[in-house]
Amino acid sequence: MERDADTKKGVRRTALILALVAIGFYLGFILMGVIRS
Amino acid sequence: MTTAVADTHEGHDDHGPAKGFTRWLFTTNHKDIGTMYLIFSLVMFFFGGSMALIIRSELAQPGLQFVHPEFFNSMTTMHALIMVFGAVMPAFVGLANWMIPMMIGAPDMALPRMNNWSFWILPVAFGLLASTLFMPGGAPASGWTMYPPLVLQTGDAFPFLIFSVHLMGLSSIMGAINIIVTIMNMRTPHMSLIKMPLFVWTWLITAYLLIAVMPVLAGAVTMLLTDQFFGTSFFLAAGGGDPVMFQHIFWFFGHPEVYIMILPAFGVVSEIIPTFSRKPLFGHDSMVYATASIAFLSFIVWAHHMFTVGMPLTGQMFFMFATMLIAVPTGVKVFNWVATMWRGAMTFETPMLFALAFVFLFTIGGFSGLMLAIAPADIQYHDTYFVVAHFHYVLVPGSIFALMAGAYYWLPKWTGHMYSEKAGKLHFWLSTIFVNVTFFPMHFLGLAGMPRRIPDYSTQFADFNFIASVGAMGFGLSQLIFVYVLLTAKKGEKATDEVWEAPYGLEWTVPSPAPYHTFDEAPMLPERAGH
Amino acid sequence: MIRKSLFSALGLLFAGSAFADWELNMPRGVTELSAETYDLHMIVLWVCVAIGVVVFGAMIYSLIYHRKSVGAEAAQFSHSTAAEIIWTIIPVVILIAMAIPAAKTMIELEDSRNPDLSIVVTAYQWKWHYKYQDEGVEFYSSLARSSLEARRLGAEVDPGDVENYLLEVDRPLVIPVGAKVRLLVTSNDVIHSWWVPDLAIKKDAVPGIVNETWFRAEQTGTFRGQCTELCGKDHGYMPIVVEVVEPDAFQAWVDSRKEGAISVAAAE
Repeated sequence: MERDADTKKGVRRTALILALVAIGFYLGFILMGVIRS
Repeated sequence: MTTAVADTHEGHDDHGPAKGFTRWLFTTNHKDIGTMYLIFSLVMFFFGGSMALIIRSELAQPGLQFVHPEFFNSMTTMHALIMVFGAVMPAFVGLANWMIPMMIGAPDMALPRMNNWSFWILPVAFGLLASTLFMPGGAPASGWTMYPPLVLQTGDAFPFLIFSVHLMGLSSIMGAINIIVTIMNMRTPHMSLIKMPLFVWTWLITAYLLIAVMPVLAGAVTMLLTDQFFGTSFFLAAGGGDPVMFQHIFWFFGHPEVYIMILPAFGVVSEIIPTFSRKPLFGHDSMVYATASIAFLSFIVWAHHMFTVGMPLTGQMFFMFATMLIAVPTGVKVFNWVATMWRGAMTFETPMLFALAFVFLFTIGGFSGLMLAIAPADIQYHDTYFVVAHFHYVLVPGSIFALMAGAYYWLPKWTGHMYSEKAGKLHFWLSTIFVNVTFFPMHFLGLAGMPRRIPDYSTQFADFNFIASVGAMGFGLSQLIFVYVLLTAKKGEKATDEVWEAPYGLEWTVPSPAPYHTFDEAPMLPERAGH
Repeated sequence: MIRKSLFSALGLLFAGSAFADWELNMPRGVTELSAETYDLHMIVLWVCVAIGVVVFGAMIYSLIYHRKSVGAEAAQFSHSTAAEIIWTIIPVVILIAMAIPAAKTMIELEDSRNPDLSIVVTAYQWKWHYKYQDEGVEFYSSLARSSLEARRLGAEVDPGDVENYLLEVDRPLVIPVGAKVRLLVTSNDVIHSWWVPDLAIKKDAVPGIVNETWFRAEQTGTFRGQCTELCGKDHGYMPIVVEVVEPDAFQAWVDSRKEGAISVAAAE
């Protein structure tokens, strides 16, 4: 697949942000569980 | 050195896909991966469906005829887990994989290798889950909702349940990341976000929901795991924990989850009705905003699954009002579909039949949903067959019919041939009749007082249970017609690029079957590609 | 399509009637709040029927007259802001109209002050325990023997021959008519839920938590319910029976249970 540098950068950036959001929700809810018990 | 020649393709792709089993194991092609998801989901549909038939066989008459209560509870639990995570969700991901790149003029998904992993995790996850059927203590039997403390009474199957759920979640999260990254970065430059087709929009929004809530489910089951094995007391009262907190966390996932299962269905139906009405989708932009509203609201209604748990009054009021509010954007969508049909010139090929039945029957499911939202009334409905009727209406003639509609609609694009329209119509009519025979009586059973998740019942519930069981057998058998349609899918006449009379969307500008690689160059939007 | 709408409409319109095993609707129950709950249920049901008639009516009309095979030609309109506004605002108004009586009933349901009687209900896998706070009466309540025999896999007794199959217990909860009864509900093990449809109350029994609810039965009679939260293998086999009796019959029952308890204690 041919892809220009901008697209590649955009892909990496979006993917990283979303992965961090997912991890954030995971840890956040566990933290909430810890705080509430 | 051969740097003069830019090598833009991986070697084997230049000549079409690889041969044999390794093609499927290592493929990074969105069409191949879409196909694998769809076949996997069909197999899971029958696996989960067979469990439903075991359940309905036992419930056909009062008394226990076939199974012990513990096994019955395993069947209800596994039926739900398999249908939700193994059939409905992967099927929509399969449609997304096949159609989103083509609909936005992209050559493939943004992260093709991760796409491959997203799929292959699933057979592993479900192999693990299915293996629990053979373990001491049996498969999980605490309901798909896995409430503690009951779920902690699961036998050897417990860690496998948790691990399996983690794997499914990982698959969904990676898939959702892929979808958002693809849509945001790889659209043909001629297609602005608002101009995207509804199927792409609904999937974009669904993907955001997935990224937010699948990790929450993972967190919840991680806490179950540590409570069981590592001495924590998140949910154990004896250690200062709170069983109800699990319910809050689970349903914070669980409510958006049901919208995850229906938003793509809305998208499919929004593609099909315009094509067969020969009229553009009414209120395209409105439909996008309505979908976004539904998604936003889905985050603030979770405790309507918990009205009997002992919630403070203000909490109950808030959740009741917020839940009732979701009826508004959902109603807007239904009105827009009807307005699309209105003064169109409709024909009733199989995809349209399933899409129309969706609008009709999903709306009935929506009505029972509105009734459930009324908290004092819900005291009488909660944990009865009224709830079972509600969610089966929105999931079966809702999600599943939309999946069928999408399959029939896009099958000629995938295979290059027209499927058997006669068989399709037979599949449709039998499914529609039997789905109503199965689930409509459940409203009455719930109102008359029959609880959920019981293997046996008092004799006044016998007649409607018998009818529902007959319906279930009929519905299950009718799905075999769909298998026939798929097996004979390539025997019909060759399909044109457009397949249908003047359909909307970029996917109808490529040949049928769609070439292994499409849109290596970003396309212009043809007249009918937009809404 | 017409068949589908008729089928649905018939079912919904049958709301009032009730013949034997073909019970279609929620009971009105025997308390003031159960009647309010029933009324709320009927209101929302009729609202849904009305909306259904309009929406499905339009759909069916369109399916008949706006089809290619009768020569229809497709119009090409694709949006109307006015329509979107109208069909957003009207549903909101309808919802507000329904939310007000619902909120009123919810407030009343929460008001468990000044009870005449307080009973602690403890759920077990798989039976109930009742303790009358002031009367000092307590006992376990389990599925009756008559059901026990018929419930087994491959049993020779036909459930049809058992009276109140799966809805009979050895020791029912006895309540004086007209008294405000407060229930304090909890569990000894996993989550269960206490529900009697004719009283229109359902409360989860959660270990480590005591949930409060109340009812005032306005009629005498025997009212049956079931556990309504999956609690393990015998979740379907731990019913609830409430006998509402005249106040003197209630007193007699309390006295006999106390005597029974004393004589049991003496024998030990």
